[in-house]
Amino acid sequence: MKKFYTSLAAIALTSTVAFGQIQFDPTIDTSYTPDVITMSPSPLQTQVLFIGGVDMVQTTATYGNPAGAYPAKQWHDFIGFTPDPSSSDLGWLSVNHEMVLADDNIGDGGGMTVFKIAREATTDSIVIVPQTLGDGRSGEFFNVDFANTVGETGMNCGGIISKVDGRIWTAEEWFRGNTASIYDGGNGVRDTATFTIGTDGNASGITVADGQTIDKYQNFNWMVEIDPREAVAIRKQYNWGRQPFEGGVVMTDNRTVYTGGDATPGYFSKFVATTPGDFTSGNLYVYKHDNAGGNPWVQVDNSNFNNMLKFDSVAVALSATMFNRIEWVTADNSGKVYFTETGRDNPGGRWAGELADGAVLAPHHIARATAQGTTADDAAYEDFYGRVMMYDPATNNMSVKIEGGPDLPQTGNPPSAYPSTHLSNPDGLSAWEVNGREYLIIQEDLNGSDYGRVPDGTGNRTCEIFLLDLTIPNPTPDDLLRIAVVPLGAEVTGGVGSPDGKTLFFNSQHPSSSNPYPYNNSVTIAITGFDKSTVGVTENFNDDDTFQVFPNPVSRELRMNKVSDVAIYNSNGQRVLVARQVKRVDVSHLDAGLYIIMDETGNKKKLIIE
Amino acid sequence: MKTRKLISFALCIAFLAIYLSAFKSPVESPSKNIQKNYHNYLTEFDKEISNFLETTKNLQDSRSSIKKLQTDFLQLRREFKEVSFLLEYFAAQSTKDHINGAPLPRIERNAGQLNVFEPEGLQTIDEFVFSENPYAEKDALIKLTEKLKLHYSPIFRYEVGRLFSDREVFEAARFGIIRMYTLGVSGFDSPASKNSIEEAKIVIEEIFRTIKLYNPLLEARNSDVGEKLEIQFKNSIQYLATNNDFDSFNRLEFLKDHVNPIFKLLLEAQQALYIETIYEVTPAKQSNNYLATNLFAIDFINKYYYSSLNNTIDNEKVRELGRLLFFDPILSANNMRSCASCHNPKLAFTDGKKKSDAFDGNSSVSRNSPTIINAVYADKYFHDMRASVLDDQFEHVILSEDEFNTNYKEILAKLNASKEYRALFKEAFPQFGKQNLEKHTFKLALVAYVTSLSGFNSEFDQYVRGEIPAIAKEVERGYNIFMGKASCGTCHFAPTFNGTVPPLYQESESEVLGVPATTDTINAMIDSDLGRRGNKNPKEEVDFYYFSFKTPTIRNIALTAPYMHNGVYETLEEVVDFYDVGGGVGLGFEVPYQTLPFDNLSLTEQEKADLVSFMEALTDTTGLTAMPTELPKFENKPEWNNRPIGGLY
Repeated sequence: MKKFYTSLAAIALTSTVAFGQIQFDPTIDTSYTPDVITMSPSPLQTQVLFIGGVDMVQTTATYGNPAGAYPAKQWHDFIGFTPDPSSSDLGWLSVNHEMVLADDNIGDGGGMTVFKIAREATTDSIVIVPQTLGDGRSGEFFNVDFANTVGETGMNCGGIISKVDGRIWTAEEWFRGNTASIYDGGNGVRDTATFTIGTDGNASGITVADGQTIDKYQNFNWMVEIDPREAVAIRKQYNWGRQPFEGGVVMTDNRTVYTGGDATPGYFSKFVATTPGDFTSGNLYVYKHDNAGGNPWVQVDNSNFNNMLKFDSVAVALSATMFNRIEWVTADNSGKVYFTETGRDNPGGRWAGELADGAVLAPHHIARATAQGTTADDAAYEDFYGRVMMYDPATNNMSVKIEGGPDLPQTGNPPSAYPSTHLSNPDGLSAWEVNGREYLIIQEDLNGSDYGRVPDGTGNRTCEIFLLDLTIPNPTPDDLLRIAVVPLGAEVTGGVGSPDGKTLFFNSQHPSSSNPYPYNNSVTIAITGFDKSTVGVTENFNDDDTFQVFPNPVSRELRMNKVSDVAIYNSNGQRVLVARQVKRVDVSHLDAGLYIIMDETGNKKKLIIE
Repeated sequence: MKTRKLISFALCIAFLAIYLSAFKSPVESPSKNIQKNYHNYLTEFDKEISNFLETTKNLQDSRSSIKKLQTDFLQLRREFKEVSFLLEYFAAQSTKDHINGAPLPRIERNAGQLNVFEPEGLQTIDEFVFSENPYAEKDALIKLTEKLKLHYSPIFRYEVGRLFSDREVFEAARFGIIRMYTLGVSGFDSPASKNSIEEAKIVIEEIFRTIKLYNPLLEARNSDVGEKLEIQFKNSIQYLATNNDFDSFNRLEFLKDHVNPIFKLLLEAQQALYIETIYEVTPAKQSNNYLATNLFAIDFINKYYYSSLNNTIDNEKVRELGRLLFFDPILSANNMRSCASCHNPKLAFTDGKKKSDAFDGNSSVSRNSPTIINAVYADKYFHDMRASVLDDQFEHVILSEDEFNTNYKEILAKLNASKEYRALFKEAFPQFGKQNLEKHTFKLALVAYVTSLSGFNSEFDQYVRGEIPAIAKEVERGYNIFMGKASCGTCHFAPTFNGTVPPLYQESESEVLGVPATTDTINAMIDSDLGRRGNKNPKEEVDFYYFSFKTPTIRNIALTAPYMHNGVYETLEEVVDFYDVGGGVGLGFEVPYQTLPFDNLSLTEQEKADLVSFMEALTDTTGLTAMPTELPKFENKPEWNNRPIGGLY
C-alpha cells in the first residue's frame, strides 16, 4: 500500500500543469474558501430604444397612399447622432435599414428611421421625445422620406456623421449593376422608370447632376444626406461618385469628407467643399499612396458626370491605391482619420485585373503578402481578419492602427501563447471620448468562423463590440475591451457614443433566433453609465505566482494573473462553468449569487456576483 | 490477523480518500498525445495532397494511369478520413468550404456583393476521378487539386497549433460518429467513388485509437466504460471489415448494433471522466441535445434552437394558446380560414390538395401544403426558403392576399376584443407584463404549438431505439436502400429525413430536381415555378437556385399526398419512379443545375416497393392531432362565436 501512495504522490507532484487536465470534479465541498472576490453590479444600464417591425413609424403620403403609422423596417445598421444645441434634449438618432423591400407607405428599397432622445435627469436613462415635424407628422419615430424626394435608396448600410454639427449621410451598399436586380421581382423597388435628377422641386443643387436622366439602378449607391430634424432626404451626393459606400466622416473644417468603398478593390476618397458646409460643389480626390510629389490625393474630375457614374474605372485609370473592403470611417479629436478594412479571405483574384490595369496595392498588403511568401494578387494571399487603418492628414501618413487576428503562423509551429481575444473582420467604427480619454468603438462582422476568427471551442459565432483606448501605443487584440452585453449571434452595428461620454448606442441586427424578444428583432440599444465606470480597469496583480482574480464589472469578466483552467461552482458545490486555458472568464450569464472559483491546481476563492 | 488486515485496509482506503480530496490530484490527460497524433495526420494529409497533385499532372490517357489516379485519390481520401473526425469538428466551416463540402457552387458569405464560388474540394474531384473519362478532365483535376492544396494550407497552419481540451476530443468523437453515419455510409461525401464503408471503418478506427488513450483514466475511476467501448469498437470495426459492399451494407443493423452503442458509450465515458459538457462552457443555444444517447432519440435535436422560443417561455399554457390560435379562423380577414385550413391534423397537417385553396375560395395558392410535424427543424421556411426563422414564417401567410389577407394590427385588435383571449395571453406570458398581447407573444404562442408538433416516435424510431423487438423485413430493406443504393439519405438526412444538414442540423438545404408540371410524359415540361431563385432575397439571386426547392421531411409522408412542391404526384410509387429515372434530366429537361444524380438508379420493382414500405413506417402523429373543442368567445361580437374550429374552408 505504501508503495502505491508514493507512486500516486509522485504522479501528483511531477505532473506538469499542462493543458487539458481533467481536474474539476462535478461537485466540491464549498466550506473552506477564505478569499472573497466581489463582482460589483454592472454600472451600465441597458435600454431598448427602437424595435424594428414593432415600433410604428410616421410616414408621409407615398405612392398615392396617405400619411400614417406603420411598423418600422428591420435590419438596423448605422446610427447617426445629431446633437441638439438649442434645447436640453440630447439630439436625434438616425437608424439605417439595410434592406431592399417594397413598402407602400414607408417607400420601396431600404430606408431610415429618425427619433429624438433626451436624458432623464435623475436616472441618466434615455427617453424618446415626441415631436411634431414641419410637415405636420407627429409621433416618436419618423420615416425618412426618400421616395418622394431624392428617389428610393437601397441597402442603407453605413453612413457619415459630421464632426461639426452632426449632419447625417446614409450609405447605399450592395452595388447594383442593373435595374432588374433593384426591382427584384416586384419585391424591391417597383418604380423602374429612368430617373431624372432634380425634378419636382428636388434639385440636388449639384450642377453636373441636375437634369441628368439615368437608369433607375444608377440612382443607387450614392452617399445620401438627410435632415434628421425633419425626417426628409436632402440630396444624393452625385459629386462624390457612385461607389459601394459604407462609411465616411466630415472633418471639423466642415469642408473635407473622407469616404471608403466596400469592395475588393475598394478605394479611399476625399471630397473638399469649395465653401464650408456647402457640399454641392468642391473637388473630389482618390487616394494614391505613391503619387509623384508626395501628395497622395489625385483629383477626379467630378464635373464630368460619366466619371461619377463610373468612379471605379476612373480610380483605376488614375492608378489609385486598392484596399480590401473599406467599411466605416471616423476621426479622433486630433484630426486623425481611422477606417476599418474588413478583409476578404483570398482577395488576390479580385484585384488582379485592376492591378494589371494600373491601380496599385496598398503597401501593407504588399508587405503582408511578402511575409507570406507570395504576392498580393496571387490566390495564395490571405487576409482573413482585416484591420483598422489610420491616416494622418497632417503628415499624409497611412498606417495600420491595429491588425486583426492574431494572425496565422506562416509555418506549422504552434503559437507561443493562446489568444484570449480575437479581432476579426472589423466593420463598424467610431471615435468616442469618455471621461477625457478617447476610444475607438470597433464592431466585428464576421466573414466566417474558422482560422481563429472566434474564440475556440464553443461554436459561438457572436460578433463582438470592443473599445480600444487610443492612448495605447501599437495596440494588439489583447488591448481590446469587450462590451459583454450584446445578444448572442447578433451582428452588432452602428456603435456610436453620446458626446457626454455616458451612453453607447448600437444596433443588434438580424440576431440569432435563439434570443428572446425583443432581441429576436433588429433593435437599437442604449447602454448608459460609461462615465461612472473605469472602462479600462487596470488589474493590480502581485508579482508572485499565487492565484489572483480581479473582477471587471463593466465587461463582466474575471481577469486572472496567469493563464489557467478554471471552474466555477455554485453555492451547492455543483460545477456550473468550466473555462480552459484562459486569463479572462466571462460570467455575464451567471445569475447574481454566491459561487466558488477554482483554478487548475485546486486554489479556491469565494466569488460573489452582485 | 484477518481482522487487523481488514482494518488496516479500511484505513488505507480512508487515507486514500482523504489524500485524494485534499490534493485533488490532477490526472494527466492524454490530450497532448492526441494533439501530437493530430499534428501527424494533418501533415500526412498535406503530403498526400502534394502526391495526388503530381499524379494529376502526370495523368496519361491509359488505363493504368487512370487506375493510378483512382488508387491515389482513394489514398488521399483515406488520409483525410484519418484526420477527419477532429478536423471536421475543429475547422468545420473551412473544411466544408474547401475540403469536403458538397460538389456544388456556393455564395460567398458576408460579402459586399453577390459572389459565387465554383465547386471545389474532395467531392468535386471525386466526381471527376470516377467519371467515364477522367483523362478528359485532366486540366480541371490539376486546378481543383491545386486549389485544395492552396486552401488546406491555412487550415493546416491553424490546426497544427491548436490547443484543445478533453471535452472537445469527446465532442469531436461523438459528432464524428454522427457524421460518419449520416454523411459517410450514406455515400453523401463520396458521390462517385462510393468507398464509403471502408472510409467509415477508418473513421471508427481513429476514434477508437483516440478514445482508448483515456482507458487508464477510466480505470483509475473504477469505470468499466473503457472496457465496454473497447469491445464495442472492435466489434464494429470487424463488422465493417466483413460487410463492405456499398449496396448490400445493412445500415439499419449497423445503426442499432454499432453506431448507437458507440454514441452512448462515448457520453458515458466523458461523464465518468468528469469532463465538462458544452453546457458548462457557453450559455449559447446548442442545436444538438448533447446528452442524447441515440441518433433516433425523440429529443436528439434541440427543438428550441430554431426559433426565439426557449424552455423558460415554453409551457403547457403557451402551447395551448398557440393551438387555439392555430385552429382559430379569427386570424383571417373574413374569419373563415385558419392555419388548419391548409394544415389539417388528420393529414399530418397537410390538405390533400395539389395546391392549397386560396382566400377567394375559387383559386389556389402557388404551391403544395407541407406537413408541419417536425417542420421546426429548419433554418429556412417555405418551399422557396424565403423566411429565415419560424417566427417570421407566419407573417407571409397573414399578409398574403391569397391566404389570410390581413395584418398583425387587425389580428391583434380582434384578439384584444375577447376577454377570454386577453386572459389566456396574460396567463401564458406573465413575464411580458402589460405587453402580453402583442405581435411577439402572438408569434411565440404559434411557435410553441408548431414546435410541440415534433419528435421522432414512429414505429421505425422505436425499433431503432430498441423499444420494440422487430420491424417488417420490407421496412428494413427499404431503409437500407433509402440510406444506400438509392441515395435518398444524402439529401433527406437521418434522423429528420429533411434537408437540415448533420451533424449540427443548423442549416437547411434546397435541391434542384426538375419536377415536371404535369404527369404527362409525352409532352413533359419542367414546372415553371422558379423556386428559390424567385424568393425575392437579393442575396440569393444566383442561377443555381433556379427550380431549387427546400428538401422536405419524409416523416409522415404516407399521410401527405400529393407530393412535390406542385403536388404533381399522387402516389409515393410515382415519386420513386421520378427519382429512379434521374429527375428532370432523366425526363429530358434542360436542368443545368440539377442536384439530383442524372443517371438511372436501376431500382428493381421490389426495391421500389421496399422504399415505399420504409417511408410508410415513418408515420407518427400520436398525441399531435387533437383539435381544440371550443374557441374563445367574443363578448361583443356574437356573430363571431359560431365560427367553426379550424375554419370554414
